[in-house]
Amino acid sequence: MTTTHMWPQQTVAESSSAIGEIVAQLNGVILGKEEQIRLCVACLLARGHLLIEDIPGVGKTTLAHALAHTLGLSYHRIQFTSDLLPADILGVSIYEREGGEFRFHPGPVFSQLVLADEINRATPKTQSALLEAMEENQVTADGQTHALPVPFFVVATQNPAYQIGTFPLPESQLDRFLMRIELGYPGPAVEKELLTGRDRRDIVADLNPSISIETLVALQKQVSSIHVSEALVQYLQQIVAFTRESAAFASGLSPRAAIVLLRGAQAWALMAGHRGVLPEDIQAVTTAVIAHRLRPRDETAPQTASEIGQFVLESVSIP
Amino acid sequence: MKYPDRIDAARLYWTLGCLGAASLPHLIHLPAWPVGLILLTVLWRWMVQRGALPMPGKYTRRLLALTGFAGVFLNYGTITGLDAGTALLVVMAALKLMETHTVRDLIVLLLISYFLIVTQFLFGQSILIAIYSIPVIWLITTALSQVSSRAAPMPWRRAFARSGVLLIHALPLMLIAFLLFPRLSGPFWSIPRSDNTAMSGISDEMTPGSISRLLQSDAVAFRVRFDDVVPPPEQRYWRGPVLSNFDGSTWSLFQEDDRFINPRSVDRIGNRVDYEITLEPHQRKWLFALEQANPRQLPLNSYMTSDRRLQRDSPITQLYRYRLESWPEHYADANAAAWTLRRDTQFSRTRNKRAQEMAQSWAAQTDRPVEIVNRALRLFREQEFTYTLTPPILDQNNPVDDFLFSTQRGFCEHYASAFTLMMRAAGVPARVVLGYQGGELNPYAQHMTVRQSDAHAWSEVWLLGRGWVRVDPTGAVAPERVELGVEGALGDGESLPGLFRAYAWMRQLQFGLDAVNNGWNQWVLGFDGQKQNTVLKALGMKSPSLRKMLFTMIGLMILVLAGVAAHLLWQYRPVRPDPSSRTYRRFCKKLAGIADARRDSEGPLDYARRIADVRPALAGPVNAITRLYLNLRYLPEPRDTDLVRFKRAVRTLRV
Repeated sequence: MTTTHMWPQQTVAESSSAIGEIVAQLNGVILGKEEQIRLCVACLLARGHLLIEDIPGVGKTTLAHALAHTLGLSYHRIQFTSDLLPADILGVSIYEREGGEFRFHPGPVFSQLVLADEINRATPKTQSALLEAMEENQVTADGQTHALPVPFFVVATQNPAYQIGTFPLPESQLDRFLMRIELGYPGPAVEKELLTGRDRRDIVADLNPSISIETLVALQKQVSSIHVSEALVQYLQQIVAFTRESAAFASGLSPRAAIVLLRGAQAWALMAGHRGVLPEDIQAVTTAVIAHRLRPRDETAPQTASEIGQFVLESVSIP
Repeated sequence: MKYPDRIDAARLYWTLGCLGAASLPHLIHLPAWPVGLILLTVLWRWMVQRGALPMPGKYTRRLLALTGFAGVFLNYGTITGLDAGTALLVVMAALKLMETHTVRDLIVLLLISYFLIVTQFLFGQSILIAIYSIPVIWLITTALSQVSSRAAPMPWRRAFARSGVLLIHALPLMLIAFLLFPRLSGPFWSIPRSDNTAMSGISDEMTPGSISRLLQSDAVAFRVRFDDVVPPPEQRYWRGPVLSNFDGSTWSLFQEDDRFINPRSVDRIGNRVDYEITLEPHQRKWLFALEQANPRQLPLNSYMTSDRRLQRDSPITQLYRYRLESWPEHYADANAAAWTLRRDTQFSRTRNKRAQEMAQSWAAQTDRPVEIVNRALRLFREQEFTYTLTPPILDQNNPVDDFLFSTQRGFCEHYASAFTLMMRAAGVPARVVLGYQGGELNPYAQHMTVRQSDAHAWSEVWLLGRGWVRVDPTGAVAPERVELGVEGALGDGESLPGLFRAYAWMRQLQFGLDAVNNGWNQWVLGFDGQKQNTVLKALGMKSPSLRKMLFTMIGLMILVLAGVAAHLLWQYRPVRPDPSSRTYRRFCKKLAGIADARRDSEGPLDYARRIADVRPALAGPVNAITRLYLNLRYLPEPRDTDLVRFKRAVRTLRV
């Protein structure tokens, strides 16, 4: 079923409820992860890319898959391995006898939703090929530039860095992901449901898109029109300034981080039906946006993502 | 505060540099080995950091510590007192370096460096030490901020700039303390010093060769500022010790301390010269004065002896400034009683017989002492006497005979000694006076500098009806000595070794340095209790007392600090909240009793939810008010009426 709304005159409330449908549908597939799903959708709406960091088997792939189905996006999964080459992702030019010329065969990256599974198993060279494509929204091969589809959303999954055989993403690459989330183990009730209910893969296969691509793009545009008041900019600046001044972190948030934090908060506000960004909207996305960009200086500083987020938010007062 | 534990190379090198810089100047007054030890351990620690050497083990360190203690004790016979204490501090700093493992250790070392540099001032307070100390203190401050910082060290330029700003901030406090800190009249710095301090300057005896050593020295003896009249060169005789005892080769003081009780004032004839002398410490009691200082106008704690020496109660161990008035045309003791003159006619009859015989033959020809004086001067003038700083060595037993009749080469002390002896042999009371003759007007600073190289010896004879008259036999041989100074009097091929005198520009430089030094003496070191009093009175403090000064100082310091605090508070003042947020705060206050107070970091929506959970009855009005607030503060296009409604809603809210 495809909803047909009159875009872009859609009000915030209408958009909010449309997004609510998406979230509800996803919640039906991925159980007990409501907050992560909302963040995931917010990240998509803010035109950012998402990094999911967790141990294998907690439903990272299923989440990406479900997202693609629900939004009606073309989907490709790339399993990253240590012998994966850049061309395996981006595509390759091959000589064709009939035409007597080279033709570019697009790689799996030319999809609206790319699941880069276990990205830290590949070599840095291959990783950076994908990350550059994410940054520029285009692929250049043999001197020719090929635009990536719109929307273009990368969901990368990563095993925790301490696992054997991984190439942890450097800080500069981590910065390209708007958010990083963790899924975590399911609760006992959810786990029981997983064990006894239908196979998740079947459920995902049966999902129908709940909005059109055009609607999605319009929603993405609407995100940046969400009002940002003076007071809120001040709050955001105080958060950024705090991370720079605090002795807890090796270095503070970059201006780019500040920009994407605001964009994430705008997306969250749209989802929540707020005509302007509220402090709570910032707070809701802060952990996911900033935790992977801050490195604790030493053992006394907050370590985990949620500790970092909580530390920052509780230290900065709302003006 | 928790410091990072690991010592990295940069932090260590900063500390090593400071320790080296702070201990180097101690080479001037400490034996070389403690400073050598610290430089050695600096090198050692550096090698350790580079992995070339291991840290010394526990036993090596103990051995080193014991050796250090023993070394200081053997050197000084004590481990307390200024010299031994400072040496011990240096040694211990060196040893501390051998057990630096954490950043905290480095900070301790840096604080010791501050202390090391300050102990310099216990030994001397010359401007050179001050000039050296300032950059070192800057360096240590920079190092301290670099070492204790939890962040990565700054680039050194920025670090220096920052600590420089910090030090500049301390300037007002420094000035206040300088101006107001009570100057204790006691010798504050005379911490027990070991007795081997070298005395410089003129001594209380004259043996052949004792002055020529001084003539080699460019060191400043004292500086003089004249109020108006600068006496001509032939009057610039700065009188010091007076030597009446003669054993045939050595002249010495008649009596160290014969206080002249209630001396008569001088005859006020001729010009009066008013001047102020800033005397460099020479570890002796005497002061120098132009002839003839008025005994009724002596500086505090000083007195005149019967042979018109000027003495202070205690040795001059630090820069000492005093004012005098002198009457160059006054001759002292015209009516001296015969018995007081007796000591000035004594001489050894068994030594220097030829000189005695010659003098006695003159006395046989005339009974006018002036004639005898002139005869002697004519002798020097007419025979082949030469002024030289490198005279041949004289016969130990009859040095005057040897000088008068065979070598005939010498400088002031030879002439003064020979002349005085001949006068005594001829029955004319005579004595030797030591002091300085001459002085150089500094063109930059309008003061006169008298150096050790101006040291001089001359004679005084007592003439009936006139009193003690100065006779400078050297002037008979080499009048240039009096007019132009020692160098002018020397023949070709002979010159003073003083480096500064070689070239004109060096001379200019010396004048400049001397002017700076004089300013330092006048304004910094010479800022004593008296001057402080004057300045404070000029600034409007009536009858400054210790108590008043202390309170003013503390008060001013508090004022400065309060000013800084106010500036900081202003800089980090909270932005004035807009009306809606002030009202919101009032709203939160009203609700404070219901749930835990709203934290500053808590969003309005979250807070409203918390209130609604606790008191569902309030959910309606609280949500409405919160919505109004969010509208005003965060949502687009708030209406003016919203604020009014919001304020009213908060006002009418009943909890």
